[in-house]
Amino acid sequence: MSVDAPILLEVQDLQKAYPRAGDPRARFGALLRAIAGRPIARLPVLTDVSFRIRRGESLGIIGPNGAGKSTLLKLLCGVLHPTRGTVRRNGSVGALLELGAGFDPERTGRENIALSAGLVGLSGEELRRSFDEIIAFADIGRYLDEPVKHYSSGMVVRLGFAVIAAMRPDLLVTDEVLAVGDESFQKKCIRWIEGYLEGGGTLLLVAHSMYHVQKLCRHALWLHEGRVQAYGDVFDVTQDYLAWHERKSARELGSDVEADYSGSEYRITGVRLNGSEDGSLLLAAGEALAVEVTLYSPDGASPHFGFGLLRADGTPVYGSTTEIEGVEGRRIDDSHLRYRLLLEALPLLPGSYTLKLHATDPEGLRLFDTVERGVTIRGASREFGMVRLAHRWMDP
Amino acid sequence: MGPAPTAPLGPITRRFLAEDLRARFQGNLAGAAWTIIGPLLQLAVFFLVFVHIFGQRVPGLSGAGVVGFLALGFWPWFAFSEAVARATTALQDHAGLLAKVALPRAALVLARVLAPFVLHGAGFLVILVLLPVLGVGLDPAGLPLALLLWLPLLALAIGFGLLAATVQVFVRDTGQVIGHLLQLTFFLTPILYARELVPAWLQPALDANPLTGIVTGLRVALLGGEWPLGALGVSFTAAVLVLFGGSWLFRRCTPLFEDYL
Repeated sequence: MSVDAPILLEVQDLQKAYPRAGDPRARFGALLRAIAGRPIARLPVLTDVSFRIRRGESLGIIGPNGAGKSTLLKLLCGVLHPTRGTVRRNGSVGALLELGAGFDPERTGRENIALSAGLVGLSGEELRRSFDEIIAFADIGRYLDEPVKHYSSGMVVRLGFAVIAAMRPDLLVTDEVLAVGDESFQKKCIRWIEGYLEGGGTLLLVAHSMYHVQKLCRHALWLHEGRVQAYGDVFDVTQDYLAWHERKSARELGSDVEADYSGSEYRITGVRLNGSEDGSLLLAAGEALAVEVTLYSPDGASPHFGFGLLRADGTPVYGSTTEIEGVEGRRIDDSHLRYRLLLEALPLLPGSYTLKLHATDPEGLRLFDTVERGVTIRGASREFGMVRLAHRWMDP
Repeated sequence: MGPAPTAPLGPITRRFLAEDLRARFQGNLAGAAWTIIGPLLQLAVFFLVFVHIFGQRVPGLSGAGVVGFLALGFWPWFAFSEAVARATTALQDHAGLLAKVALPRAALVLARVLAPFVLHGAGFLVILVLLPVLGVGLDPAGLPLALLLWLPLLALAIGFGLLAATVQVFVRDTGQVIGHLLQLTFFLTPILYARELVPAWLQPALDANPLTGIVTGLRVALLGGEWPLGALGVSFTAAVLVLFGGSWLFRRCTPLFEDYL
């Protein structure tokens, strides 16, 4: 993508607001106000969104549910009208917004290909030329001549994607569709999109899978409660977004560290990660992680401390305990002791991780308390997996 | 601002029109032959009811002539009334599609108006062939004028259709009201009766109905008589005003459809 590539889509101060749900009388009032050219009371769902997409770019739109992602896409492809602001399109837009949009469930797949091709602006001649290609891409076999109402959701997406693929729009807009198809169709779609991008296509993708966003997009826009929270390089934005999620779930877990606990169990009463007591931590790849925990002991005995690192999806990466490694804590007072741990030059690949901290009994047998902390490793990397294994390339 | 739908109005209208027509004939044994069978049966009903049961008289016309007189009034009415009635719910019926696909909204209304005009327009051509067979003399020289009169009729149907479809989005009672209004209009239009039979003091009111000039004009063109120039003036003026008025309202309210559908 070059900086002076033509602008394909320009969005300026876009705002969308829906009127409050109204009774029949309010609806009639709305009609009269519309005729008189007067505004209607509305609730904003999207506020002050501005960005531009140049030909050849790829932009991922991310954000939690209800952030306005779908509304934004619908505004971009003309299904919705902006309440304020402008959307300027400079080429054809192919949109795959929802499952089976524009399909007639009573008609066969073959008939629906013709119908939706007409809706997306494919001429009869273009359709004839690409009909076989569409059928091959959808790859739904004998279902092609069955009514669409008998299709699985995956098959509907296959058909929809095949039609859009044949259209080869200047700008492709898709909403979460990659999440529906099966593994092999997802791969096929991703291959197609990659080819489309290589061939100068432009992509706007809404996805909850950061993997898909990072794989397909160079830029990302994070929408939060109808506003742009961040807009820029895909790795920066997605990592900030994941970190935000971590903080949010840490908050939802509540203040799990009770500093003035004085009951009858072994407890974690203080956690500091790199000197900070925040719920989550943002690290650059290769940075060090210093963990300091304070444990409470009701009987003066020395409880042990264990830690574990997990990937966000729960896959364990590494864990150990002071009991295994024969480490003693430092006593602070009668009922508290402290452990300090340093993970030097963390070899974790960029992504989102969970650090679990445990208090066990002095025998290291029974688990008494667990505290979780989010750790996000920033940075861009094309390596695979979770951990960078020490390695070097030898002289071939 | 505003939408730049990917597809232009014309082809999308054609697509929905073709869909509409296809849906009507699909699954019928006789299929598109109904375009001819329908008018034939309708003429037979007119003959039975109006000539034999009611013994309807129109000044200067014989039994078969009465059927011709009625047919020339009924077919434009079929097209107009069906067009307006079906256009009213055009947007509402496609709410799901409009929420997902960017398309020119007017295409849905236009297709709903054009379908009855295609069908009953074809039916009209069929009866133009049938009537002489039944012994009703039609003036071939009047044919171009008769066909020309379908233009203001179409313009009125599109204008009222756009208007009704727009209002229906906001006020769901519109469909009901339109049904009754059409029924009233049917009796206030000289379809069952001749314009000349109305008392002289009522004629100006009748002529204010834009359909009066069209229906009466059609009969004058094909059966002869005196041109209702005043009523025709009303028809053409109203056609232009209603078409532009309906389009204006439709365009003005288009950004709000998504909020109220």
